Amino acid sequence: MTTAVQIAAHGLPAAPALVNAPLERGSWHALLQESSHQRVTGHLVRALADGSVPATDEQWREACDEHRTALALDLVLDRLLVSTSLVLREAGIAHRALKGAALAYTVYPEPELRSYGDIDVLVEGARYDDAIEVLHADGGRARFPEPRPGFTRRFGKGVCVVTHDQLEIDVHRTFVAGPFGLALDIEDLFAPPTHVHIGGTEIPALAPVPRFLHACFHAVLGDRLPRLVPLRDVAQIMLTTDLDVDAVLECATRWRARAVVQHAVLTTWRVLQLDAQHPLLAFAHTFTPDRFERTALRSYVASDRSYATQAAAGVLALHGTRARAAYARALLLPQRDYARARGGYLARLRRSARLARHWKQPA
Amino acid sequence: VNEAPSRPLVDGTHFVHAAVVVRRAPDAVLVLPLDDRAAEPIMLSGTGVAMWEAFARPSSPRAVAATLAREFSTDQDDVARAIAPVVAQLLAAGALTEAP
Repeated sequence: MTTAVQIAAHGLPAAPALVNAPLERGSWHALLQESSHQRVTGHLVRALADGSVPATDEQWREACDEHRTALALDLVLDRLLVSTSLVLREAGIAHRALKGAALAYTVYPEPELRSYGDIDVLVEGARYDDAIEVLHADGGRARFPEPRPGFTRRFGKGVCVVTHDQLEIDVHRTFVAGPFGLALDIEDLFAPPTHVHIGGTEIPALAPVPRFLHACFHAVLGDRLPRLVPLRDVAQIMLTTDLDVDAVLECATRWRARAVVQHAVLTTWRVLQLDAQHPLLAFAHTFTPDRFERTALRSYVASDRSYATQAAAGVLALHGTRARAAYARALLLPQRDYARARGGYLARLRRSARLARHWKQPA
Repeated sequence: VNEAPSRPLVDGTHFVHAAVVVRRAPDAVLVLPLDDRAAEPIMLSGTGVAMWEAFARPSSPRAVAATLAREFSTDQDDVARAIAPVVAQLLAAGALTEAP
């Protein structure tokens, strides 16, 4: 039976083979629903069009309907990305588009193969609060308050800004919350950009090396169960672009994130059932993470992981007593609005006590 | 496009506006002008796809109708009547623009 996993890998070198007969009704609708949920309808339609997955006329029409719906959202999000970039540019705030359109237009042969559900923009930490302010002035509102004023600008991953029409702009200061987001070198992210042209507007996006590293972060440090599109992004970049592997490993070493690359590559090959060779796959099979990387990775991928465990592990990535104290104080004694949005002070104190015990002696 | 009511052709030469984003599905083209932040994507299907592609270069609706009539082996006036309201809609939405 064809699965959404096989669809997500369709078109890659050494992707798994697909079935050679039309699916019966129940299996087809399960595949269609999962492909839509995983935002891989572009690959599904491609697999149907090139005959890799035989389909009835009705199945073809249903797949096209789902795909058009996904494409319509992509267009609306492209427009939001353009307007957001122009607002930030007008305010003189350096920024980079992340994933979504930034990948669809650069590493895929056609943007129709890479759908998305929101937009992600990285902004410079020094102007982070200004960025949120101009997006508020443009009609957006932050979904959650900060633990303490200025926390995100200094330590946080970022915030989600919701527009008046309920679209989401993830405004990042760094790639992820917690230790790996704190350990990476933000200056690398603002290296000369790759430019993406959308509707006549030039949008700055990450350069190829941080773009690939972000794909790795997104693939395995985000959702508890890795989603298929981020895994496809990792494979797509590795197998279809001229990725500078030495530069990737040099940067990952400085960011103390080689374990993230290792975990992303191995997870991508395992989940998408790929059978292709690549120098980063060879690296992933032999690399042994250091103590920091093992401890940090565990806070993202362990079965009992949570935002709180990642935040607590973030202390390990900070340098200096003052920075650690400010970070811990903000998380243990947040402002009232932040605590209320997350269950109140008592619940936070109980979680903090548990985490303090857990992280007292990191492995 | 096939069900469009009869209407005079919009005069002038038009082409696809630079501030437009496009996605191509196997059976349709979806178009969204960027200048109007409230606009919904416009879907063109059937001969509307060929019409959209024809406006990639500055063309008059009459020239596009002639091209489509040849391509689909049909009457040029019928095609002209069919595309007129669509061209008008695309111009009003800002997806097509007047050539200088």
